[in-house]
Amino acid sequence: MVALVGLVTLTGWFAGVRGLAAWGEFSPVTTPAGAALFVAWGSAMILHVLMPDDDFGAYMAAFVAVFAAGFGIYALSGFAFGRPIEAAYFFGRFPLDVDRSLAPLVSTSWLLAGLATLAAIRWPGSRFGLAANALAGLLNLANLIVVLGYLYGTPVLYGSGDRAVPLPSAVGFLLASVAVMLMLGPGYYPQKFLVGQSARARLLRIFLPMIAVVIALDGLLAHFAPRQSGLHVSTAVSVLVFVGSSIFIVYLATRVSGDSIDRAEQELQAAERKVAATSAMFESLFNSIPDTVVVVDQRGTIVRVNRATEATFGYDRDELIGKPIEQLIPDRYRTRHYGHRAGYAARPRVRAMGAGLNLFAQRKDGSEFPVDIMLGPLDTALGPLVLSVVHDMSAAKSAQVEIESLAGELERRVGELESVNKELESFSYSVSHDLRAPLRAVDGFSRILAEDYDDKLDAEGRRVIGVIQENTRRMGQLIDDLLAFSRLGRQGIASAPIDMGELVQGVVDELTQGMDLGRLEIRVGDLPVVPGDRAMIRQVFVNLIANALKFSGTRPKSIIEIGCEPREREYVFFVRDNGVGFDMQYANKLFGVFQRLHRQQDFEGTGVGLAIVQRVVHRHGGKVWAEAALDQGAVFSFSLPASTKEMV
Amino acid sequence: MDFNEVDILYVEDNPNDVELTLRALKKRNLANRLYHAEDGAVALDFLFARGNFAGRDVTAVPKLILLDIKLPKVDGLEVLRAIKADERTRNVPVVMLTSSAEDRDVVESYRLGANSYIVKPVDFENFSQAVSDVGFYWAVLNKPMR
Repeated sequence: MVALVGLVTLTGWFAGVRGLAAWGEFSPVTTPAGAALFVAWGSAMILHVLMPDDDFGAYMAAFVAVFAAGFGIYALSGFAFGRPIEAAYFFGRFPLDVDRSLAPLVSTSWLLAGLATLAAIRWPGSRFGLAANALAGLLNLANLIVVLGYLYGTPVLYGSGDRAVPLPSAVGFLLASVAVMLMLGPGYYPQKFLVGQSARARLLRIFLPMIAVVIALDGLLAHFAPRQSGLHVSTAVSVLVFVGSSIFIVYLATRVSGDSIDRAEQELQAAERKVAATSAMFESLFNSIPDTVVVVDQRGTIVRVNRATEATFGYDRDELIGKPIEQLIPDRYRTRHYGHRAGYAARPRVRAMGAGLNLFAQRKDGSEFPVDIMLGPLDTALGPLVLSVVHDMSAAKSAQVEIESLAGELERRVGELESVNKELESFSYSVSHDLRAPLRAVDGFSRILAEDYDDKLDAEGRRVIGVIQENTRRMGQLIDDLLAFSRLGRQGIASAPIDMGELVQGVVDELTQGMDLGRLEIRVGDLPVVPGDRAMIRQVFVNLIANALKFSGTRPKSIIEIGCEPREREYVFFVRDNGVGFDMQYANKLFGVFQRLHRQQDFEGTGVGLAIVQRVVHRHGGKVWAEAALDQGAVFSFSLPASTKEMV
Repeated sequence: MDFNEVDILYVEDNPNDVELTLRALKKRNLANRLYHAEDGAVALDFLFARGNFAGRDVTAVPKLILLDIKLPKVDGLEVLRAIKADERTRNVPVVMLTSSAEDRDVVESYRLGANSYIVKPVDFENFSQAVSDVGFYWAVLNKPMR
């Protein structure tokens, strides 16, 4: 726009039209040199603003600025030495042939504009930026006065004769100063007044332009009116416009500021309601905390307590507030607590008070109870406070005592169990060692008797010796079985996948060795691979199949079936025979140690085999059961878990 | 009896077992150069020429030691440990002859360096057979290190 002003005036010079160079009969013309400078300044600034990253624009602008300042100094020096510069000389003669020298204010304005632009471009943001803003402001004010002078036809404001400032120059400077101030940004006064959300800034933003427009309109009216009518008409119009616009502006100002005050009031009320609600919520929160909360000021005086405090300590709120915190502490700890409190005031932080210590608090009735205390500093508008959360540990403490005594009891029991286990072990050891020796002696010496005194014995004597030997043999078997059974309880389970089909076939082959195979029919179904202790599970099948063979041995043909039914998460194995079976009413005795359902002379046995089966299966996490009817055969079943988790 | 001319040292406290064992060994003529120690302490005194055996030549070691585990005073495993810890007796074959079929006894015996482990059968015939076989193998067939 500045460049445009310059162009228009230059055009006036070249075209010889005074109106274009002076913009009014009262205004002198703007010199060609000034006009050219405006063009140059405007162009350089456009360059600079359009290409902020390009140094060329900045350099150009700086150069023009320096030149303008120099021009101003040169012009001013002309005045100082009494030889005003004949502006027209600069470029020779123009079609518009007017002699015109530079006005002093124009020269000063150039100096100001040059310096301000230079400072704004080269050192924005520094103290020079501030200076630039100040210079631009000065430039703005001076030329605003000139422009107003023209608007209201007041020569006092724009000067007369050679000192008069041309209107185009004043407008150009006005625009340039605004440009510099805009460039410097909102960081400086007076621009700062216009930015932001404050009511002041908002009002200024609305009314400054409005007032400017009104003043301009009014001025223009005052300026042009006299040509058409009399002086009084112009004055009347001017007064009317002025009064009308004043009323309008005041109305608008009241409305805008009133609105914003009302809005602020409403917001304030809403905020207050919110604060009240929040405060009430925190109050009820504070009161509903199940632990005791006591707020203490720096001197150790109780400031606030919650409802739990009243319930826990037996005091009313009024009996506590304003009293020293030591009122809640047993006498013997009070003195020490003063010291702790001083130490905490010096270095306040969130911490557990005396972690691991046994802390006690005192109720109104003087009774004490164990507590756990958390401390936290509160930085409030009322000064620094200390928040202490006191947790009644009575229940926890007694629970702990209970736990400790139970743990002690458990430990004692485990110890007992261990010693019992040791005793059992040494028992089985001595069974193994000590019961065998006399048995061996009985057997051995009866053997010696039979060998060395055979000629002295009759048939009855030999039979008696045979009975002795038969019984020692059975006793030996009993001892071995008993040992095997007791060993099962102590051995760890070595679990690995077992191919049951292969294992069972091996057992069947071993047990039927030397038997009349024509008298046997053994069917082995499809058997899965199941995890377990191979040696133990093998013993189970040995015992069950041996039993099946034994109790079906009286049949013309033994029929034995071994199979498996997969179930959810377990496998059920069974061994079925067509033997003598048993009465189900004795089924509960089947798996007991030394329990037998048959007479020794009918079926041999020690009564340990099924007890071993049960123990092994139980230790694998399974179950054993049997179904039978007298003389109808029997089915022995046991389950094994599909995974090893349930083993013990 | 010349303590330097002993082929078999038999350590056993049960007199019945001793009688039965000797009977079995005699049948194979293996009992002539046998010394019977009735507890672990006597066995160690014999082997290391202490106490009643002072003057015995320690280097004249037996060809075989038959050792019970459960013994008065010093038990069989202790005796075994002492035998295998001493340079002079380490190479003498030791056969554990015991009533115990407990795993831990078997494992511990072999760990300490026993050469064989035999559980005394209750049945006399088997017992006689076992004892005489062991005596015959170690005292007659086996070639000891000299």
